[in-house]
Amino acid sequence: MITLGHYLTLSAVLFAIGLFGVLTKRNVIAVLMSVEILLNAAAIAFAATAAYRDPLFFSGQLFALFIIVVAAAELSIGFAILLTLYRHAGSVSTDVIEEMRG
Amino acid sequence: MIYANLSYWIPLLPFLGFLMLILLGPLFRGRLSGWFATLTMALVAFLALGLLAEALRAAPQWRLVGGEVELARGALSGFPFRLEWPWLSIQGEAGISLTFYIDQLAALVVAMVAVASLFIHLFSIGYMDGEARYPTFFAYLQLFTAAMLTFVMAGNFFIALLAWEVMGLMSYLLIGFYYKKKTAQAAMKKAFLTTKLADLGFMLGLFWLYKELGTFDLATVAEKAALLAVPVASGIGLLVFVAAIGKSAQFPLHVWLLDAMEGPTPVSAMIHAATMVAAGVYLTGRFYPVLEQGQALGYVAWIGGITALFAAVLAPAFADVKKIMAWSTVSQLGYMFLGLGVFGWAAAMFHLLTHAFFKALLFLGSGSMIHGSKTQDIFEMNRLGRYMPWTWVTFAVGALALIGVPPFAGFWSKDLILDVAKEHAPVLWFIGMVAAFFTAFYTTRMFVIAFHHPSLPSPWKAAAWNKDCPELNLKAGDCPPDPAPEPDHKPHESGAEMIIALVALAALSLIVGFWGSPLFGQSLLLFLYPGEAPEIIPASKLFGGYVIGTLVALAGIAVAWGLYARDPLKQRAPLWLTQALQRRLYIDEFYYRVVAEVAQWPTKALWLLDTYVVDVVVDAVGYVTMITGQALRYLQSGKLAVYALYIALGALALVFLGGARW
Repeated sequence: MITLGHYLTLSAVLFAIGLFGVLTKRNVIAVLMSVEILLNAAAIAFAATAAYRDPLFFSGQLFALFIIVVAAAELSIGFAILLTLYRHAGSVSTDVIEEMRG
Repeated sequence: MIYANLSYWIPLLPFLGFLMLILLGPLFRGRLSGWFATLTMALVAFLALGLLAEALRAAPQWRLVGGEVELARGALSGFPFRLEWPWLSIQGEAGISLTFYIDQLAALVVAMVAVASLFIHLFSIGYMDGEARYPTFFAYLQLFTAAMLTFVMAGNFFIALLAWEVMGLMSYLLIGFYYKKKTAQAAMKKAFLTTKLADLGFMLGLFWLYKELGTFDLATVAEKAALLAVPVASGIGLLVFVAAIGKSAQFPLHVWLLDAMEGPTPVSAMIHAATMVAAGVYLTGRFYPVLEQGQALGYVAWIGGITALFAAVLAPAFADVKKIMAWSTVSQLGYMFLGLGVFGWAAAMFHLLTHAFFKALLFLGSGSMIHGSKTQDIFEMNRLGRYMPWTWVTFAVGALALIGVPPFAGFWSKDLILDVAKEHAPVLWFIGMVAAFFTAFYTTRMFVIAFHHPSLPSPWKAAAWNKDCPELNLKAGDCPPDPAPEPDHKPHESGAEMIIALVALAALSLIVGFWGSPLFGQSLLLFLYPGEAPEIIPASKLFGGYVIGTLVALAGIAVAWGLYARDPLKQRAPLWLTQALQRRLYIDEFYYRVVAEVAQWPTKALWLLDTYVVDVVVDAVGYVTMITGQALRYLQSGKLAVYALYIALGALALVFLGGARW
């Protein structure tokens, strides 16, 4: 029997993986991929919680759909920035964008 | 009443003249601006004399019967003349009205100012010829005249104060007319600061007066003065008297007048001899009821007496003709205050009138001497009597009037003051007599050396004590003394305008004195008669004073003639005395070195407070901000991952600290 607990554990594991990727990866493409994993972890949590706790309404599922849309939008913008960054700096490493250092 | 109703044109015309000249100055070519200003003044003088004639008709008529004054006819209706417009009012209520108030004294002084000013304008046409800023000079003179006339006609003390300040400003600008000269720059500042300091007294006195009586109106103040408590009246009166001391260059605020001679000579004649410096006397005369109520007249008398003597003693130590004249003005103004202080109100005003004419004459005469001989130093003047006959004659008239030789104007008025002083304060009478002796002495000395001696090397120009005393040079830096004229310079007589002005003023110096003399029944004094007048003394009693006065004057002349006719250069006084007198008894130096230093103390204390308290606090705020910033900048690593970690930690913190519920 698969319980809500299993889904939430999966979501937490995915979130941890995504967070690890965001924090450790130097390649911006990899960072963006990790962000996707983070978003999907959240989407799973929403969808599972909705299915188990609130089967009559679809608010959780709707949030999951929203997250997919937002992720798509985010990616398109993210890649656009990435391209610009590549043209500008000739690299897609996070090391080249350290201009904010105090 | 025609002239009384038109009297507002008297100050307005020169003001309009000022506007014309200052705005359209460059359009007036050559001497045109001078003639324009003189013509304006002629119109003003015409109106002022008309006003005086009207006042003479309308004023109450007094008669002298057996030594007692009795009223022959009361004032005609409408006298004193009064013109009033609402001004500074809020919805037609309260506020201060613009009032012109013309009583006997105002009519007399307006006429004096207008006439003296007319001739000084006329003289300036020739004297200032060829100077840069010729129209500006006349514009300034016009505005000054307008302010002086407003001051005299002012019906309340508020307007008087405004006009008083404008006069101070014009005095400042005209002293510094040769603004490229360092000494002139320093002199204009010195004059302005000294008189300004004194003017504080005027303002404070007026505020206090308003608090007590609720009015600035001249006539009302005179009526209500008796309601003031004695200490209050005394305080108000003395505060205003301080302003008079400053403006009239009385001891101890006399220091500015001598240096004011840096201005062009007609300015010295007009502002620093005939009119503005006399405004202090006029003001004190106007505050007479308050001073009398406050029993403060003794101070006035003593200040006047001390100044009269002090200035007359210093004058013989100077070689600059204008500076001698300046001391003489200080001394004569001292006589006026002396007269006021011993209840000789009308006598003081009589002396104000005669002094204005003969001192304007003497100043213009010295201007003519300077113009002709190209030097201000009497020793360097080369027998001017031979080359400048007109100047010689007119200057002699002025000098005799100043010395007080009958029948010239100064004789009648000065002796009258001394006679009154003899009644009320014999000590002051004695001081006045000694001052009269010195007056005769310095005037004769100047006259003999300048007009009858060939030019000599000026003895004190390079004196050692003048070199190590920057204060004598107004601290204006290393200014060399004025150059001596060429050795073969032939003095020449001045132009027609100047001669006409001199002759006219000489005639007035001869005539005006008779008006108040017993020969004509003291009619001027009866005209000014304020209700009680100790100076209206029967002619028989006056005779003794006349004899003594004349003898003292002749003695002064004789001593000076004896000493200076042969050998003017011989050093007779001990050297330390000459030095002390030339350094003006060290009073100026005392002000520069001690008073100025003490006055800086509060400033220095505030500076220390600013440096060691205010600045430290402000700096501390800056340092704290800077150090905090230095510490916090390490948070900004610039690494994307670190920022992401902050976000993650922040989210975690929100979850735990914010109390998430499961």
